[in-house]
Amino acid sequence: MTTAVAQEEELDASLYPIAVLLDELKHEDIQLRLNATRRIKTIADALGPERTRGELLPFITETVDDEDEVLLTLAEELGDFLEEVGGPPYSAVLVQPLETLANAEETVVREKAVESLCNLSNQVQLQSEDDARSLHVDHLFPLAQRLANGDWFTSRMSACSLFADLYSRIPDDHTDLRTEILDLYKCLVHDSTPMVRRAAASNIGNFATAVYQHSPTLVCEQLLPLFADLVEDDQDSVRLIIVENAPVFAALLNPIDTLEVADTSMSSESQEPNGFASSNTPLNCNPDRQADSSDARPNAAERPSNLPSAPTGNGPLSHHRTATERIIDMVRGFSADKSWRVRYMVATRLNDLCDALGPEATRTDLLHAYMTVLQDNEPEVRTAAAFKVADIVKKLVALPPKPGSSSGSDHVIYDIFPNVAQLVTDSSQHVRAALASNIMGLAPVLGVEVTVSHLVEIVLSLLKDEYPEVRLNVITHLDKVSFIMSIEKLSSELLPAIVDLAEDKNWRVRLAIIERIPLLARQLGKDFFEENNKLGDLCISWLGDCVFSIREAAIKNLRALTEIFGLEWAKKYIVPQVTDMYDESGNYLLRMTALHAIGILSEVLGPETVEESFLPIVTERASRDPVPNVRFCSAKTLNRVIPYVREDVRESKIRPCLMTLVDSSEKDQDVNYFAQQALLKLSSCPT
Amino acid sequence: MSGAEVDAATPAPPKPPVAPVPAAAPPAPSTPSISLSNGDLDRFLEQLLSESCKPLGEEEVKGLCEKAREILMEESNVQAVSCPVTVSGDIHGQYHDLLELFRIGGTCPDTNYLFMGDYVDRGYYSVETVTALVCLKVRYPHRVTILRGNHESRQITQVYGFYDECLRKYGNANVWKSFTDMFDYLPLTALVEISIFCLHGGLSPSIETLDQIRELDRVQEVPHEGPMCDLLWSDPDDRCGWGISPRGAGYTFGQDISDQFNHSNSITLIARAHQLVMEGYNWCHDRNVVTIFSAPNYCYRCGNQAAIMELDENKNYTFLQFDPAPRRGEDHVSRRSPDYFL
Repeated sequence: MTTAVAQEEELDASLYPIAVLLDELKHEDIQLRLNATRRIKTIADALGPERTRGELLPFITETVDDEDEVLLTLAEELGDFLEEVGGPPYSAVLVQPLETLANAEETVVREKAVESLCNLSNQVQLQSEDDARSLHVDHLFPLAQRLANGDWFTSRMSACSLFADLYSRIPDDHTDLRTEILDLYKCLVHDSTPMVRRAAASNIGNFATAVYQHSPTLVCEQLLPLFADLVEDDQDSVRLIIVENAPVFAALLNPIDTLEVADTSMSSESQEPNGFASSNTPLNCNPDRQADSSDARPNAAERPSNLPSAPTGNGPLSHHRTATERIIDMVRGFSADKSWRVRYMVATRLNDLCDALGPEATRTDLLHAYMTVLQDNEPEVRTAAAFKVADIVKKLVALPPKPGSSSGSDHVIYDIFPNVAQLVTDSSQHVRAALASNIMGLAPVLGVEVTVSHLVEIVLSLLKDEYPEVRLNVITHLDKVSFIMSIEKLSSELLPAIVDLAEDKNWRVRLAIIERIPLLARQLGKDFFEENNKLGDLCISWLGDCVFSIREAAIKNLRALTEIFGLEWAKKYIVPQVTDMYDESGNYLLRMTALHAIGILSEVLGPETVEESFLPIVTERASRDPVPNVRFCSAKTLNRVIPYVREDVRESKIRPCLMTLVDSSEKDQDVNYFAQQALLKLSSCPT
Repeated sequence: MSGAEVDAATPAPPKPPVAPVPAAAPPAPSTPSISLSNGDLDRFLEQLLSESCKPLGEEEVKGLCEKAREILMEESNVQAVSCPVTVSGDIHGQYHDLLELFRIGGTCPDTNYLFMGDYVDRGYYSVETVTALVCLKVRYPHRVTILRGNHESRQITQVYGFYDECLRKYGNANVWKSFTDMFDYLPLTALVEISIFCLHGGLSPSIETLDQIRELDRVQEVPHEGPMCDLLWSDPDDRCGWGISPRGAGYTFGQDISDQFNHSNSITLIARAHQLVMEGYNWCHDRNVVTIFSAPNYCYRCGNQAAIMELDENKNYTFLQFDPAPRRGEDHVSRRSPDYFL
């Protein structure tokens, strides 16, 4: 190849750069090889389709590079190389190089190669049906066969990812090939290597979707048993992936059941005892229900035998169970799986399963599975479950009413709340923190009555948690609870807890409380604030907090309160307190806080108050403070105040004061600088 | 040494990994003053002092360091500092915790700061940390004092991370060279209101008076021994007298030594850093010496609190303790098993 190009070079000088690139494809410096590989399209364009097929591709594939990075790039480039080889009629020439890459040892290379094969299949399918037929039947199908029968597990893994697209594109007159793909998949599901079974498991969702398009019943007859086998895999990493794919798979089966046994579930549900709602474990009453189902399929006969919490342990095995019910059984089995990672996955995917399996399953079995993970032994599982409380409760509340069964809200009250209440005293702080961040989401869903009767107690306990993150999570979501509660309830139930936290030793908790005060103020009203000194006092005392950020937040809060309660209120409850603070403080940091408060509050107080109460402190005292920091803060404050005082005052009070700060008697250059800045503002400020 | 204290710095490597680098040549006398306007510096500070800190460019760092050198060379080996001031210990590249420190203690220039060295190494953001601090020093030379720690050295930074970090973030060692050349000019100690003596390490058997420190020629790489080395390396100890330091540089000194030093120099307190203390600060030698350490959860795993010491205008001190800044993205994950365990 190199020599061929060398000859060309003499004929056509414009090919010279291409020759360089070609040489670099095999250069010993990996960086050069990588760059050249990224540009194989350029090379191919220059050579034309014929020489690309005849020379470039063999050249690339004759010696496989040993650097994964180069292989990865090559796998990526070949995924979009159809035009370069001459379009759909020549698509097959790309199969062999990509097959080599799909057999590579490195996972990312393999995955990229399979992705590129799927891309190729896609592009050809879109452009030409005839070419697609030949590509899939004559090339990709044999490729899948070779991969699936490969000696090394890596190629068998690649096969798993190829089946779905291939299956859906095998033309209808080749159903035998489809059957064969299904058989190949079956073999890989039972492969001796866990890695291959994992690959099979992670593809069961999209493979089932592909099969479903041609024949929904095949999913039940052929894939459900495979699903069941993977469910019982002895590797938890395989079961884990199956749980992840269960929602997709279940969503396919659900309509099949509805189609074929439309009235079965209704008749079975009606047999459920009515004592359902008052029981914490209302779901052990199902064996009769399965026996009643009229669905009979040969492959649905076998059911998993090692599912600890499966409800049929005390009833006869039934042949008349719908596919959905079998999935439900599996999910319930997973919720008691011996591996915590599987149970963790159940907790995180349960919400999707509710969507996939529908309201009936949610009401009964999935609710039970959820309560199982809420009570799990492992904190990680409980944490994941605690994060889902609001989601699951939303699903329950949205359940359609059904005669003879409890309403969704009853399930929340009698089934969910008792379990959630236990999490409040959970031994793991992560569980409690997760609960605290999530449980506030229940209030808007449940409404005032249930919130007050059931939720507030839980919230109050979490607010007293010893772990700051738990308290913090509650506070940051407090608005969701507080706005649906009455003032009486709010003040008697929540407020005392909030006041306690206002002096929390963790400053971020204090900060979170301060940030919620304007919201509470709006709800509680001015009268309440005036009557209840404690809250108002707190707002002032935060100004003297030892943490700078709290002092800053306190200032912002006072500004917000002024806007909510009005000028008169602020003049009485804020202005004197701020000026006192300046007077009484022997610490420069607090005097500067008072100055900063003056700067911020001036924006909302109106010129009279500012000129009368605040300005003298700044111009007569702060500007003559012995600490230079206070002096330049007085200049910074004046800078802020300028737009909010009347023009005559600017000239009579502010300018003379600033002039003393730029005077040569003032030696501190920072004071000079900030006074100069304020003078500039004074000159430029519109009158 | 009290039980709560653990060595913060590993013993000095007996053999440096590279040949000792000669101190920077003194600047050419004709070099004109670098022009960095207040506006430039304010822009740098805005870029640096945010959660999404973006380090300065190589040339900007070079200019900044030259300007810093001009300012620092005018300062004394015992730099006079007035109250009020907030005193801080080791930061060690824990940039997000430096931002937390400012959230607790207040921002510059409103709050005056005295940093007692060890800005770089160990943490992952030495470049950001030291750039921000030097930038503050250049913008507000009278509000900020930065002293030299034993890690502000060419040799130590090549072992403990700063050098590698510069290479990683800039692709070459120029920034490292700019900073380490500037480090030679950092003052060794500070004296707050002629009564509180602040320095990174501790006392030296070759030094009895502050005037002896004032006479040292500090513009050089931190030597392996001698008074300048001791000031940056020594630790207080429960045993009396001078002892051999387990660090391999500097000495340990007992209460008798600090009593004598404070008495003969009319000072009331030695404030120093250099050692990890679990509460962030730790008194010793009958309150003649206090250790302040300002890197919370040191090396991201020690579980210690950090502290700063606020001195108000009347020399009243308040210690503020703080915990590591919450790190984004970690707030609601307990323990998820990574995919590679599957």
